[in-house]
Amino acid sequence: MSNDFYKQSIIPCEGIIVKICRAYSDTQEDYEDYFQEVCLQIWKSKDNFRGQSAWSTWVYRLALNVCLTLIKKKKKAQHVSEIPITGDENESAFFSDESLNFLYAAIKKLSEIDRAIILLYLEEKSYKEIAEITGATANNIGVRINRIKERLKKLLDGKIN
Amino acid sequence: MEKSIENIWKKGFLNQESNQAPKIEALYNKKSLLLVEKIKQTYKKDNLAIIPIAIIGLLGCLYFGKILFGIYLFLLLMSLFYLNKRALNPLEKLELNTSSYAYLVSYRNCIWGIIKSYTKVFALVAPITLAAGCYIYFKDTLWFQEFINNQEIGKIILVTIVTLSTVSLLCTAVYRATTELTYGNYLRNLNTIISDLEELQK
Repeated sequence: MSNDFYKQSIIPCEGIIVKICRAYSDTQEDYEDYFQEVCLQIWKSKDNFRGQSAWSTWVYRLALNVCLTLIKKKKKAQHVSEIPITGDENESAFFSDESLNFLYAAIKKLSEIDRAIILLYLEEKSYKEIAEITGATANNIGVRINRIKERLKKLLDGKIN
Repeated sequence: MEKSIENIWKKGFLNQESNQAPKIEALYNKKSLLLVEKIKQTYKKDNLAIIPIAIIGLLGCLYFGKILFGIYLFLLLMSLFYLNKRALNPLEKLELNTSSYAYLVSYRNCIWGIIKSYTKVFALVAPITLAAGCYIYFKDTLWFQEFINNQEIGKIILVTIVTLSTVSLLCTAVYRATTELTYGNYLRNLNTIISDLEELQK
């Protein structure tokens, strides 16, 4: 991966990648692995980007796919080897902002697809864009976001003022 | 005022520290180690499988009264086991000290070295050991005695050379096919990662 590619194409989207990888990883080690794998896949798949959507949307979709694939692989490996999950599953003190840590911990309790939807919503993507990325309908996204927000509120109840 | 999740998100990520990405330096370290570990495990399992085969072979031959042939077969297979174990030593010694690229290239070179030397073993040594085995197995049979006594020496030599050459070709083909079947995917993955790393270094 050339420095130019990294500077021009990855750095502008670093924030997005960080947020997604944090939401799907349980430990710092996993987070770093996921981040690296996403960057690598962006570099490897860059020729597949046809400009039909914004670069950031494409990166978002790819990052989600990579994280979901890695989660699947991890689950499969744990299932096969029956190795207990290492690390603290509640490890969420990634950020200096306590409320953000609580929010991330709550997001991690959502299903994989709900996590993707709420991350896209929080990134202020339109319902149409979220629907395109996740493969759902725009109407369904609206309903789903409301449900997810309710669930998050319940999970965060009492933890943040 | 109650904080909304939207506010927590926005404020949390206003802090640059929260957005800090990990450094991409050891990009392929984990991948490399995992792949190498898989190859090692397969190699070890493959080699360990020789022991029960040798024991079953020996017991089978003892049961059918072919004691000498059974012992010969057992010793031959155990030698192969020992040879495989020794071949694994240089692979075990390789460590990911410098870069994934150097590590994987050394690993690939080691594996290709092993494959080349085994191809020679199967092409040259296997036919001879097999011929010796056949001699031990058939030397007391009537047809073998008749063949030795009734044929000209030239014809015996010709038959031996043709048989050994055929066995040599067969052994090499079987070795290549089983290597491809067992390690083909791993070796292709190894090549892909090395190519990726070469591309990354450009």
